[in-house]
Amino acid sequence: MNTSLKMSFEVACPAEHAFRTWTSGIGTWWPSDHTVTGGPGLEIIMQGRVGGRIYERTADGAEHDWGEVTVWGPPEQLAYLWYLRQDRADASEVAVRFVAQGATVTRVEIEHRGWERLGAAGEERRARNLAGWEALLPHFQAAIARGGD
Amino acid sequence: MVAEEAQGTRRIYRLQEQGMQAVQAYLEKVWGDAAVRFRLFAENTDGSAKK
Repeated sequence: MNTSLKMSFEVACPAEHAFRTWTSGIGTWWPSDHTVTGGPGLEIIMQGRVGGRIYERTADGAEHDWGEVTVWGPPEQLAYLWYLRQDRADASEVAVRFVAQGATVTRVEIEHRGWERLGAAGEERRARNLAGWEALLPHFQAAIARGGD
Repeated sequence: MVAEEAQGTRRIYRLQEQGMQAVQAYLEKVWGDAAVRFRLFAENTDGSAKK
């Protein structure tokens, strides 16, 4: 199975600004309930280079890694491994393209690949993965229950 | 959430369709939320400013 989730939308700003907001500005917009700790004073950092870390730092200085930059091509493209609440070995991959539609509009194309890897490795890891996903699902269900937003 | 199937001496586990759909729906919700917030911040910050 090769799961891939795609979505795209337009944003009214130049591609350079969209790229910068997505990367160095990730802490301004990434939903705080989709983090490891979700606590107050949380910082989210994406290091701007191939091999750069994506991680959160809590108010008391603890760090939790979520990912690693694999493609750094400002302002057009970006890709990273994604393992928020997962083992790094079970990372999925997020690829984002910023396609200029003239000087002031950018089309953002997101592809999240390989998230079925859940359950692909050893039995022990499989069990841990399932526990990880089961921890996520209440958040999903709460979001659905809020509805319509 | 997991289906198990014997295949020779190996055992194959896989997420049941319902589990996969829940995971996909969860990811769609996460990315939907993220996209809305991303647009809001990108469109309301100065393109030349360092945020």
